[in-house]
Amino acid sequence: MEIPYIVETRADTGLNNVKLGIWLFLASEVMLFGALFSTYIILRVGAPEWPRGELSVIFGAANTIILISSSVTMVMAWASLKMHAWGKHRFYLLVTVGLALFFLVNKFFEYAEHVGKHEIPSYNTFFAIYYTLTGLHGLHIVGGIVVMLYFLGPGAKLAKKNPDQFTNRIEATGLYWHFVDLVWIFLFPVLYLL
Amino acid sequence: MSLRAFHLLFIALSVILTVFFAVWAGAQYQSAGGAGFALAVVLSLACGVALTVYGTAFQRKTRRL
Repeated sequence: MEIPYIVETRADTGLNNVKLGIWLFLASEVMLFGALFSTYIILRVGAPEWPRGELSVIFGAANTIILISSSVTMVMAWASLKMHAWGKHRFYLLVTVGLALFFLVNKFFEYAEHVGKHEIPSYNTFFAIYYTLTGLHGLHIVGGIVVMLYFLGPGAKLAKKNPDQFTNRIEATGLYWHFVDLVWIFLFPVLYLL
Repeated sequence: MSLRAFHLLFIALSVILTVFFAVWAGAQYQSAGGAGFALAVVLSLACGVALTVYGTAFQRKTRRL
């Protein structure tokens, strides 16, 4: 027996399996990051004084530009598939992976600068929440890279067998990637500017 | 929500961020001065305009996807 709603949408929900699954997953992610953002607010409001200007705005702004660009290339990878442009799809997906790696390299240098000044998580409450939030976000970036590399490698076989299902999977990857980018859109002003 | 709709939402929020960043840089320029902050205001607003143009074009061109 075949699993229903792999490609076609269910009449009552208007969703197929992959879209329902990814949105349920993203809902749990909202709760995870929501809890950490709430922790940040509680720590900041309760602190007698809060350090400001500890982080390099240039590093943060550069990473913001990188992630916004990667969301554009990700959506282009999906749109190319919808237009049956296989070569363009792979190119845009590869560029997205490259931008994600660029983000991580940038983050590595930022971490290295702080660690060099002994500004590690135990240094103060600000750095504890900074490393927690950006570290978790960085892990999500790594997760996205792994998924995209899978679709550039062995996962690409599905495109020949069932192109619609493959397109749906790329759309789900794109939704995840946009969520990860959206978290950064909130992290940047909260940690670097305010 | 489709990826197309989520992307448009993301671009809209990115535009808001560029405006927020420009306001922040403007405030820093007023209090501390420095050409870097003035440049940041201009670049941020330019990015905001570019993202708005991109978002509009994306919405128009992907209507049938």
